[in-house]
Amino acid sequence: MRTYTDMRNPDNILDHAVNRGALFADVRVEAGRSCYVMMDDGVLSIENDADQGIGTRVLATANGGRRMWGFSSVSSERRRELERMVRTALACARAGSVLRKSDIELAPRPTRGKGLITYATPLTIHPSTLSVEYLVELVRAWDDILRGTPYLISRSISLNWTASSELLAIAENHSLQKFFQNVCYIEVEGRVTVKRKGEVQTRSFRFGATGGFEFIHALNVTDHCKRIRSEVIQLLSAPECREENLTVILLPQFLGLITHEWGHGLEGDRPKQIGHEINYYGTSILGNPNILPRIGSFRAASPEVTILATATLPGGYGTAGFDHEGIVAKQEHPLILSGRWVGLMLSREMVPRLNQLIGRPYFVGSNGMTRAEAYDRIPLIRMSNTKTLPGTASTDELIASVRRGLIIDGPVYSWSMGFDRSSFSFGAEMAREIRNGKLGGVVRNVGIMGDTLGFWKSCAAMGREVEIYNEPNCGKGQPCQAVSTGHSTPPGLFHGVHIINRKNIHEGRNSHVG
Amino acid sequence: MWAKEELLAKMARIIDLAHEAGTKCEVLFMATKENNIRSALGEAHQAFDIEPMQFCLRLRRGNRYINVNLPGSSLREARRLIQQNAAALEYLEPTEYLPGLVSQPQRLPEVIYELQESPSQDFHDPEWKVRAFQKFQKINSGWETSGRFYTITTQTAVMNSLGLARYHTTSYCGISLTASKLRRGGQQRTAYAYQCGLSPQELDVGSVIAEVLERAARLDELPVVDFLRGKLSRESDAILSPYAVRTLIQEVLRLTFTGHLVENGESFLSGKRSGCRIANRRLTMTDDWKFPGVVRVPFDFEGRTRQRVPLIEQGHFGRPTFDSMAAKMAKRRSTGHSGGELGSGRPECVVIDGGAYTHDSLVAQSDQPTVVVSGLHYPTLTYEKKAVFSADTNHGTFLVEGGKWRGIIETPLRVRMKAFDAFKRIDGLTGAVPLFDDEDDGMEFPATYIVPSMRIRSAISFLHSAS
Repeated sequence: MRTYTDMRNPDNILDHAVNRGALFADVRVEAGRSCYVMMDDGVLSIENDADQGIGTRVLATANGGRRMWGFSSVSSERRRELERMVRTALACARAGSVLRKSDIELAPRPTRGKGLITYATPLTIHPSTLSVEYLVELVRAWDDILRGTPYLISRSISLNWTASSELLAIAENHSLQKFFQNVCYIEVEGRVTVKRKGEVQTRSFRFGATGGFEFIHALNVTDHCKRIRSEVIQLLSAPECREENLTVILLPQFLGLITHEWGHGLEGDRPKQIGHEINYYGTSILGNPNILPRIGSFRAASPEVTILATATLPGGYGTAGFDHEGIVAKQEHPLILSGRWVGLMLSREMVPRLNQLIGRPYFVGSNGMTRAEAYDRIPLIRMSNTKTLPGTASTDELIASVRRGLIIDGPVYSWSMGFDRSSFSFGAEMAREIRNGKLGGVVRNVGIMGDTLGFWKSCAAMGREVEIYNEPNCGKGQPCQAVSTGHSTPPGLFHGVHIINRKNIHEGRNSHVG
Repeated sequence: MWAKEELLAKMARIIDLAHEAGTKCEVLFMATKENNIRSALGEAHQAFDIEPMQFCLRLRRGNRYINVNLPGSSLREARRLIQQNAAALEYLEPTEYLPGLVSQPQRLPEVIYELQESPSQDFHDPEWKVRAFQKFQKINSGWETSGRFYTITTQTAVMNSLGLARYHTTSYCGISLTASKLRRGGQQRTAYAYQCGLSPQELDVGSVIAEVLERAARLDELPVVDFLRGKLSRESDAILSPYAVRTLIQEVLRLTFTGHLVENGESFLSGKRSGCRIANRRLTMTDDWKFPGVVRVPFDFEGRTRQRVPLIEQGHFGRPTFDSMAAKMAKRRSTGHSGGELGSGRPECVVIDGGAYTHDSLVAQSDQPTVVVSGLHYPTLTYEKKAVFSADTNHGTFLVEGGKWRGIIETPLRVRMKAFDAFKRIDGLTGAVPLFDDEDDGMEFPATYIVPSMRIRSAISFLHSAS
């Protein structure tokens, strides 16, 4: 892990930007290391990565233009390269400035004094202290379990960690604020694919956390390898699911991704009157002009549903000390509160824009959801973590409440969302029937689809046994930026969910809407 | 980016460091410079210029290997990292599938690049993009415009302990435009157009605007029709725009023509012999990096010359693409598609032979109800072995019948199809146009798709996506 003094002092870069006309400037210096140990169909591979670089973002105007963002990055630390980076960022801002109809305004940022604000992922065993030999030994032992799967055609197991150091410095209103953090992620992922009589089934797991290697020690990966080896064989001989509307219990590793995808609809740059992602990733139905002003009272889910945005979730992939606008992570921000839509994920820029569209000063400041994938990307509004509040029922009690339905476990096999997030389609690896309150047999090739708001309004209960679903590859932006997000999720009970068979597309053809 | 000679000297230094550590080595260097302006609803919101670069090493001793990636800007820590990783090699068991180092080819196809115009000094000049966006802003038809205009130059080099040294640069650019209009009730209609090229001269801003306005006008003029008529789903003939074909092909090829998946039984093509029929005879699809309009990738991550691979020839299965490790595992020959790891060999320069139809003539000859799909959003394969494809429609979905445009299908539709059943029912193709990877690309070579519009007879199921 880097220390603050290891990292290049950004003061000169900021001075250079301000002296050349930047109205605002920030600098991110980043250095990262990662290690992947993988066995893919028995082939062991190890990858050790190191990367570092510097990016700067400025607000500037051209003659007759409006305040506009410009961003540039370099991998080099040479002085002339850094100066060129600043000039390029300013040139970008000035070029874009004449294409703006209004100034980019920023909501105020809480000031924190002049001291350095620091954060480090809490951990006990930093994975970089472990030998490659040890990691290989673990992965090889897990692979030995997967290798014994009958009807096996493909298998993979991987263990990886990433440690990054970030220095953020912001020059604004004649003041300078600096932030420094070390963040560490660890993840293990396994998969088996089997084939019999033309039927191919896959079962997998992926678990990770911000933290140290103690997370892996506590996980018992061996048991998960044995579990998926057993479950994938059950899937081979399981009956196909039928297309119908059913009550479902979605377990956290499945519901977590659904929450994640819905979370994109709660990003503050997605409203249709803002349209930052309209050219590719899409918009949000909650940003419809007839819905947006109703934030605070609009019914977006059943009263059982409360979803918070937070960068403070222990173990969550989106957990950090501050976002890339220097908003310190310190609290949870309601997005859906007992079914009412009350919040959005925000950047400083979006706060005044959204208040204007809402027609009242609804938001008072950014809630710290602005991040970039790396030093070479401009920050965007990104999910950090979501936290869906649990209910009181155990999973067994949820099952007991279902006369006929399915219980669906993650990870999700396939996923797809409508352009404005108003609809979804998710495929499952694993599902079991529930009959008369008891668990039945495995069914295969289950998928669910439907309208997002209707789905969340059909939630009858949340369970109490919470897990964190962490997503390491969440894409957004052009070019794509992949960031890590976390989702603290309980099991959820939903009525009337439309079940599809993800393999047989013609089942239920021309059936009427129920 | 480094000057060529400086870069090759650095790579030679890395090879020396690897030799000092008692290993053989291959090094790949990749760098891009990308300049972008993005706009939303008539005004710019991002302008940026970025230059990531990285050295990717494979250290090897016998049949043991370890991959190490180093910052492209600094080799300050290279010696320590190489020594540290070289020491770790002793813990690894030999991998029988590790491909051998590539020798310097006697004939380098890179010479073809002398034919490509080098980007001028102002290739990345934002002013060029500003002028394009100013033209967008002048569109005064009740539609708001959003878009992206990017220019990218790349620099790639491969060097190894056997003396291989290959170097390659390329440049490409793209411009996309989404016209949108909010309607009462909050519904938003969008129309989209995209153009790409290897040089600025290949982009015609006026024609991108004309294309998007033509699509937008259709959304203004046609009535809304009830395609599903109260049903949950309906199978129909369909005309897929080149954008929709790109999205479909991109998703399907990735998981069907990758040699490792074919060999291990996961692909739709597993167990199928070369020459068997998998599509309509109209469909010929080739992976061909030399085809005009393709972002040319003459060699793979290991320095092997990329082959031209017939994927589908007049409806018959040609062959899959192999990375070197998967090829060795399957006792096949690499097709020069290695991305550095097992299973990485996928088609990236995809050319579909066009047909004689125009988009208008496809419409004119569509007597039966036919859905015109302008775009496909968020594609996925829901069952890979059967290549079951699913995505939502976007940017305007229309109904054509009796050879005429009948109306707009405003209901959000989810497309589901078994992709190769659909390919067997292709009955019309237009001329093909070049499109780069879906628009979230950047920072690496984009896959290129030279694709036509396709008409497909009754193989696509359209569902109410919010049912």
